[in-house]
Amino acid sequence: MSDHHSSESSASKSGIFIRGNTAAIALAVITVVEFIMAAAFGIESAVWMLLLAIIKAGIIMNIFMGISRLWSEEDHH
Amino acid sequence: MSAVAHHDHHDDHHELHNPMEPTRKEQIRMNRMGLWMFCLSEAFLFFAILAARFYLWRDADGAAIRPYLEQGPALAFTVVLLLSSYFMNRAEVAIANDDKKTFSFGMLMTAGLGLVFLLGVIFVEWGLMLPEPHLPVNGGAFAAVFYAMTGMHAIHVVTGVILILIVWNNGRKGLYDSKEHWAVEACAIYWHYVDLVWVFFYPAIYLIGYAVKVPHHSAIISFFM
Repeated sequence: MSDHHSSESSASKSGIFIRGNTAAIALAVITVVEFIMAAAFGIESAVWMLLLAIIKAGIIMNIFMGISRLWSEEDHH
Repeated sequence: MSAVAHHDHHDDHHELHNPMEPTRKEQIRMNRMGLWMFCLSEAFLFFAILAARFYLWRDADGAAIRPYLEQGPALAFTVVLLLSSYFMNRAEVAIANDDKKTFSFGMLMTAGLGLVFLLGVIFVEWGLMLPEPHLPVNGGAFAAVFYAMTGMHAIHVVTGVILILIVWNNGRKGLYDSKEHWAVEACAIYWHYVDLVWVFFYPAIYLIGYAVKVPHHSAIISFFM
C-alpha cells in the first residue's frame, strides 16, 4: 500500500515537473519569437508583441503561480 | 483520574478546532487571496510606469520610439529571469513531495539567477562600471522612464532574492514538508510575479518602437517640444 502510494506520488511529481518544463520551454520560445519579430518587422509588430506578452503572462499565472488554487478546493498544505 | 482525562479531552477538542478561529486550511486560503490582492495592487504601480513609457516615448508623429540600447545582454538577462522561474517551480513542487534536496537546489539556483539578473541590470544595463552609461541619467524622458521601470523592477528582484534565501534557510532547518509549506508557495508566487512584470517590461523597453540615439545631455526634452 505504501509502495503504491509512493509510486503514485512520484508519478504526480514527475507530471508536474514535465508541466513546468513545458511551460519554461514555451516561455523561452515565445521570447525568442518576440525578439525576431521586433528585429524583422519593427514597429509593425507592436500589437503582436503585446499579444505574445499576454500569452506568456497566462502561462506564468496558470502554471507557475497556480492561480487556479484560488478557487480550487484541493489543498496540499 | 477521570477529571484529568476529561480535562485532556477538553484540551484536545480546543486544539482540533476553535469555531472562532479559522482552520489552517482556511487560513492558507485567506493568505493566498491576500497575496494575490497584493500582487494586483502592485500591478497598478507597474501599469502606471508602463503607461508613462507609451505616453512619453513617442516621436512628433506619435509613433513609438525607444532609446538605443544593447539588445543581446537584455535578451540574455530575460532568459536568466525565465530560467530562475523554472527553478523556483521545481523547488515548490519538490517540497510539496518532501524532496528536500531538489527544493534546496532549486531555491539556491533561483536566488543565484536572480542575482545574475540584478547585477546584469546594474552593471550592464545601467552601465555602472562603464566610463559612459548606455543611457545617461540626465537623458530626459528616456532616462526617467528607463530608470523608473528597471529600477522599480530591480527593487522587487532584491526583495525576492532576500525572501528566497530566508525560505531556503528555513527549509534547511526542516521547517517545511509536504503538509506545511505555505511560505514556499508564497515565495514562489512573489518570484513568478516579478518574472510576470518583466514579461511586459522587456518588450516595452527593448523591442517596441524604433530606436533613437540619446545624446549625453538633457536636450531630449526639447525633442518633444
